[in-house]
Amino acid sequence: MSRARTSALRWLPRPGTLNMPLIIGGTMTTLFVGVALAAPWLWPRNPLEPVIHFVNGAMVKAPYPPGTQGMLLGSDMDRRDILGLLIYGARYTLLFAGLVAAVRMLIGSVVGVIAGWSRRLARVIDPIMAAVAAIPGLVAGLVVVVLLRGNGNFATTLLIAGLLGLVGWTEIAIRCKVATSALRSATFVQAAEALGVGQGGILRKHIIPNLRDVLVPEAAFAMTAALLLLAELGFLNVFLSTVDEDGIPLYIEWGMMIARGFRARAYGAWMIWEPMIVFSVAILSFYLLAEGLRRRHWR
Amino acid sequence: MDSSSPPRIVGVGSVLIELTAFVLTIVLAITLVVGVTMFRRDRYELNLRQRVSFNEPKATYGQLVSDYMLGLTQGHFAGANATPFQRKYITNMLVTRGRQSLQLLGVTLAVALPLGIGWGGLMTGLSRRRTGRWLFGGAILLLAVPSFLILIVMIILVVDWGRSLGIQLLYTQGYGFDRHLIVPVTVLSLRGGAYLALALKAAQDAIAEQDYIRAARAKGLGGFRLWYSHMLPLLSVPLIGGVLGMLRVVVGTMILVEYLYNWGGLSTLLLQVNTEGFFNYRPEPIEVGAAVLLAVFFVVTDALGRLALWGTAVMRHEVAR
Repeated sequence: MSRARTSALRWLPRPGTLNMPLIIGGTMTTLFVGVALAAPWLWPRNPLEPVIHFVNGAMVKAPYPPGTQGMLLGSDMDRRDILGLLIYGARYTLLFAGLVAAVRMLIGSVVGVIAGWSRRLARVIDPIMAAVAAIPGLVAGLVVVVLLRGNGNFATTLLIAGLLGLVGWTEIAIRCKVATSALRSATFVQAAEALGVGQGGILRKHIIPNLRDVLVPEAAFAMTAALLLLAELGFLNVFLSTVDEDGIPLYIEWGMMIARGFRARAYGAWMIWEPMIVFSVAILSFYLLAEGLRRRHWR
Repeated sequence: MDSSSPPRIVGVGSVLIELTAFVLTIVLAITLVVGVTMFRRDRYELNLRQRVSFNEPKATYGQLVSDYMLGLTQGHFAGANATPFQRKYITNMLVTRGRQSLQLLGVTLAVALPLGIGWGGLMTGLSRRRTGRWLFGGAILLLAVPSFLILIVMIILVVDWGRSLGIQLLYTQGYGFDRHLIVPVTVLSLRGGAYLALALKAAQDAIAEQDYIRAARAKGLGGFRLWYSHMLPLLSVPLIGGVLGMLRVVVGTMILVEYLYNWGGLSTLLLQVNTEGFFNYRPEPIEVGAAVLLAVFFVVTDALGRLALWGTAVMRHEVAR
């Protein structure tokens, strides 16, 4: 019987060898990205449109608690369905966080590879990295967003998101630097040098492709850090989304939902808990994905 | 480096790098904050310089940065053109708030260090047991969720539940230094300890695969004695690296902790100036000063940590190789 089971379930991984963080994190992040991409199909209505409830001809006072007719997660103070806001919020939140992470990855990997490759340049780069690492991301983000936000232009918001990526790249750079300097002393790189391959060729053909194992998990970690930053800024009432003259947000972002929910928590705790839990689950998902990817590459 | 050359403890080059980083960070912090303040000044007519009248031309970006730098060299945080009263007032305020932040940070480190070391040791020692997995999962969870979630959960646990159940989980009521510190320090040290534990676990896992550890195990040594006598001495380098990372996590979280628990530190001051507007008059020197002090703190701890790292035996060995 045991032989039969062995042959039938041979394709299954052995218990204990499963990379659970990768499986859970991968599934959850796919789900979040899927929701962000499919938002118009999942929520065909305008999420910013208020839903007004009447009882016996009288308008019910907002906010509506979860489970109110047609509102699974309740409404906010402006009578908007929180579920719709969360679904559409995934789009902009992941977009902004992705932009922050992309800028950090770009700067971190380029600086790290240069510092790891050239010891002379590393002497110049090291103090700069130490200086940038010394500025807390939350403080820099706070200053940048508070002072540059304002006109509601989407391009400006994207620019601010990009500016948030100017700090927080040093961890990526350090990992890339260590990996590059280790690869530089590898036998195959020395063989390539002996064969007369130029520095550019070695970097392009041997170093950068082999940095994939470092860069892929780092990208997921960068996404985690960017989401954390947006969440914490939102908690401090600082968010990337802007509102028009009537106070209606131009685009929905989870950070804004946390900011508004926290200020309106006395009227209904669900307004802060729901976006906070969704944000936390998203961050945890990316963290697990990153951890899983790192474990996969360690093997 | 030639293999026969003597190992160095702290090279002159490293000290120069740290000094350059120190100066560069301060310049970066000032340039960042002053630069962005300039952007706001155009909208709100605020200026780091004390303008006598609106007819006076606005200071240029370079003038603002050099003004502030000059003020720092004169030993205050108010900018070179500030009045003596403003200099004294702003500098005193920043120093007082900075002291408050340092108090919180000092107590947090005193709690987080043993917590992180113990947590990391337990995680490695019990890694194959369910307790070890729970400890590992708990550390990941504490680091992966936003810090404000932990803050709010702590408030609910300590205040709301305590009030409704009639029990006092933590001794938090009152206005004394010690009582106010309990919840903020708990939150900060939990997060910092989790970071340190994970950093140490990775290092200990690598050490545990060494042959001499296997040999010690084969001879019957295990548990705490194995960890204490064979693993702990090798943890100096990862410990310093872990503490540096922990400091970043703690200071990053401290901004939110100070804000939510109304701790009168430097971060609260920076937030008040940024989000609420502290004064109608000359808020920028306070803002710049708070950012500069935070940056100075970061770079000093970073530099000390890296110098300590250079001083460890393993690093000396690496350099000598």
